[in-house]
Amino acid sequence: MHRELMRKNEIPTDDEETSVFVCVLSSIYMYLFIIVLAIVMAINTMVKSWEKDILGAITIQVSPIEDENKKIDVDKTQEQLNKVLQFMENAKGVKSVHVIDEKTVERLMTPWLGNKVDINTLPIPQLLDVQLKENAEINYDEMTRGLHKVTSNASIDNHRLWLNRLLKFAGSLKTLALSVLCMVIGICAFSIYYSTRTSLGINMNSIEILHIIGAQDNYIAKQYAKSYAKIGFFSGIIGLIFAIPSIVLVSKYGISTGSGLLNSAGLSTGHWLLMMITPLFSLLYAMGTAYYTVRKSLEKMC
Amino acid sequence: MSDIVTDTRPIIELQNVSVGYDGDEVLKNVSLSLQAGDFTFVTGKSGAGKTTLLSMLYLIKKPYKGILNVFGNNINFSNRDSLALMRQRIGVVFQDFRLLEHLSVYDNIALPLRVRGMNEKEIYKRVVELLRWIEMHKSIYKTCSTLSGGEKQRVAIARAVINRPDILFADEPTGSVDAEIADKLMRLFVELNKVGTTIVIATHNELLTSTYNYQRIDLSGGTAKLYPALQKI
Repeated sequence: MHRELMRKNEIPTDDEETSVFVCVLSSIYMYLFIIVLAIVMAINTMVKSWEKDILGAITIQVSPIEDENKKIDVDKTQEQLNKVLQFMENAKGVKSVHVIDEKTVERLMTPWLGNKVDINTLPIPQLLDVQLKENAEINYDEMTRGLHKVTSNASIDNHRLWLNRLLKFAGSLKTLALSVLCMVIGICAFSIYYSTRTSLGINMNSIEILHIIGAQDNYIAKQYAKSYAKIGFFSGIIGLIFAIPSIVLVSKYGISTGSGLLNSAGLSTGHWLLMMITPLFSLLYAMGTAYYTVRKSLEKMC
Repeated sequence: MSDIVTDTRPIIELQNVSVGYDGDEVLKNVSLSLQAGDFTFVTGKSGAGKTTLLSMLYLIKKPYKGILNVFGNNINFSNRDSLALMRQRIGVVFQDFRLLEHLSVYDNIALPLRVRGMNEKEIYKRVVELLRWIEMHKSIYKTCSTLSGGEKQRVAIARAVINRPDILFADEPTGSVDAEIADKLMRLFVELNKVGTTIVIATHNELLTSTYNYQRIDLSGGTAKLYPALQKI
């Protein structure tokens, strides 16, 4: 056992400068890989959150009724609101309905109107936040028609239009990130391929000796696979050590911007675990690529 | 009547074989055969093709044309893995030793056994036994790059014989050692031959071929001619 552990690699790949070069290069690739992986996972979480939060709710706008003097008729407006409220509470697929209070409306309007305007004097529509039941199939056309029978001043905003645009944008971002991910994996494979080929050239004498004493290609390929597994694992660890602080910093920055949309782009424990096992993936990937390269190269060489 | 059927096929057989480098034929239409247990010298001037012939026989070089049978297998129809398995039954000693210099004496000698997948305990037993025999057990963990020429020669021979090969090839084994070591080496080859190992030695040392009376393949002008051992009167 002791001798097995102390046993040196018969092909001295560990001592080569190319190995150091590949290790540094792979560490950079692994860093990029983990960062992009985190981006992809964050986008996925964000999209799911949007779909859950936004598609699970609709907003009803009810315009106030004005009298002959173009002033808001409070009684009629309230009566109209009660009717809409009753209609929505009884509508199919609706879980709950509540009127958005004046203070919230005021807060929402402040960025546009400032603090000095009394919004009660303005014909601002009243808003109803309608929460839908999970997986409820809503017929929006039917709902709109029913609502118009109650009052022509009410309209439904089901967020779908602008959300679809956002989802498309998020989808493009995800595709871009996935392309970068594939590119990183591809470049990494090329680096391993060329460094393995270079190493085979440098160690041709050792390989020929091994062949002469009866080593099969599999035996030689395993030596390379073992060596590159080490490189892959250490690259993964180094990449991870640098990537985690970067991701934590970006996450904190995203949250501190206060953007509601970005806040939903958090990473779950599962995501963190997935990132933690990237050195294992890196090990298997480097090992497999080196093994395959050696097998194919030896078939062509001798 | 005996039930035992002995394989009378030659251990090595060449039929109209041509071989060379980069398309140039060094040996042309060579036909010869060696039986198991033969002791054979391969002679010829420098550049006559001794090393080329040997590298083809220890299955590193493929013939351009003709048929080469080793252990009864036509190597033209053997895949890479079966060629490797055949090589495991062959031992080779080189003039320049061709050791893996970064490895220890132990690891170099253990190499053919590891390639065969033998367990480390059995490997250790065999290597230590052989190291005692070549009187190098004190240098077991020395790195080969630190050894003298004579020590390297002994390690190279130990590596070639550790897996008890059926055929042992030696390319100019006495070329870089003094007369005393050369004589010891030859006596070792004779002993191995006595226990059934087929020995093929490439040499241009005429003293050697005249001292040891064995059959001889003489290479000249791209052809090979087999001379039998002289009959004792």
